[in-house]
Amino acid sequence: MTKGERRRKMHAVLDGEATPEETREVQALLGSDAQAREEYAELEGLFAALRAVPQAHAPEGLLAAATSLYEQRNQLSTGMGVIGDNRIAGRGASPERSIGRAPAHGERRIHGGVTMSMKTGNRKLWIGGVALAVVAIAVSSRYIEFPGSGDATSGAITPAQRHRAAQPTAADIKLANPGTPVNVQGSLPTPPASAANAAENAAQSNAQGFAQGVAQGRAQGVAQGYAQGVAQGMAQGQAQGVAQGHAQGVAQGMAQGVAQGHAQGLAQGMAQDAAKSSAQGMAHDSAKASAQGMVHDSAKASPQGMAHDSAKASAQGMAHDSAKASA
Amino acid sequence: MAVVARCRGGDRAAFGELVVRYQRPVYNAAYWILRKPEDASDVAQTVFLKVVEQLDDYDPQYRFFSWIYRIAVNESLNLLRRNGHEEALDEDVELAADASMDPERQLDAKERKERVRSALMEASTADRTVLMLRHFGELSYDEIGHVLEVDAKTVKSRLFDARQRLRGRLKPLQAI
Repeated sequence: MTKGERRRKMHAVLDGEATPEETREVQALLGSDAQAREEYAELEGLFAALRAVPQAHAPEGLLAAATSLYEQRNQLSTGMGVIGDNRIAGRGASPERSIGRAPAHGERRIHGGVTMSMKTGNRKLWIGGVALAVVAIAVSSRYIEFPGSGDATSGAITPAQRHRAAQPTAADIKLANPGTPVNVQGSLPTPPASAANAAENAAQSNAQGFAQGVAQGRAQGVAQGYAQGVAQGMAQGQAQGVAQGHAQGVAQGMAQGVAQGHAQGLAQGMAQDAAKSSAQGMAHDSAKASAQGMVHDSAKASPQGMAHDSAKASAQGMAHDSAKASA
Repeated sequence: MAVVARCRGGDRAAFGELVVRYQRPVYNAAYWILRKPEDASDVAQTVFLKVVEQLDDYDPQYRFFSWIYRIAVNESLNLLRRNGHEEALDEDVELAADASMDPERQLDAKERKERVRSALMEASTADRTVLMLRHFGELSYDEIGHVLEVDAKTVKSRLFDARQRLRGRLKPLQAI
């Protein structure tokens, strides 16, 4: 048996792994060889020394940390967990990043003997944040359509609401003398410049056309109706005929005249902005003529025709001007 | 093992019992290989999670103890490989002295143990691993072979060589 073989058998005997034959050979050798006994004794000392090397205690927080990881793992496996890492060492789930780094300044020690790296913790936070962002993007791209199509659109579409200024009410309308112009708009808020100009032009055109039309219509109507009525009445000799013919003539003439004059006046008014004085004069004349005509005309025909025609002409003119002002 | 069976069934308390029972050897196995308390603690936690995850792979022909050692050693060695190189020793581990000895003998014993520990710590990873498994884990050659995935003959040879090298390191200290 060589020295090396002898030594290997001694190791096996001390390890308790020698075969019975190897054990007998070593025992025989120890009984006959002092150098072998010395060598064996030295090996026994080494084995004893190795056995005597104390083992460290596990960190106090190991059980809690392992249990926490275990629960996190169970939660994740059931799809209800929160990604996290409560390792007592605070070194992260990637141990390769933590190895070999001695406790440095800025680290805090927890659970006695175990260190936590603030830097590594921040890095974990960043990594966790990026991971969450990736997950959020993935989830949103899966469930949210970019850009949205009409297929998945539902709900009521309501028109946009424009601002509406306060409208004049009945209280804003003030009665005045028939010959005095009345501002029914009272104290409405001042519109912007363009709107104001448009409104002013519309009012002027309206007034001018209205006055001109009324004047012409009434003059024609009165003259025509009066002539016809007088002619008929004189021809028939009947007061009734005179009255009817006069009334019809006045009504027709006023209607035609007012409509024509109003349209014409509107056109003129829109083309010529500086017709205010003329309109006032014409209005004044118109009012005068109208008053005169009214005196001569029958009380029956005139109110009907004026009301009808005035309302029609005003409605047309106002609608037209309002549309223009709005545009 | 009843605890293992309960743990396999998802029993949280059983997992706790498992950790309590094996935390010290697992932690020490990792510590002797990694030589860093922080890394050993990390690995120990990972080991217990892996134990739970891989319980179905446990082969009852081996002791559960050696199986858990296998996971601990593999995790520790993987960590070393990922790191690419071995780090300097971490010397902040305080070892407990035997309180039954008188103070003078305590000092001798403590110094002797410390020198052996230092020599062991300076050994290669392979030597530390096989010596740790044999002398601290008290695993048999077969069990060490199972852990290291080598046969018993290779274990015997590795152990012999590791001890010879350790003896060489301790030679100047023989007078102690």
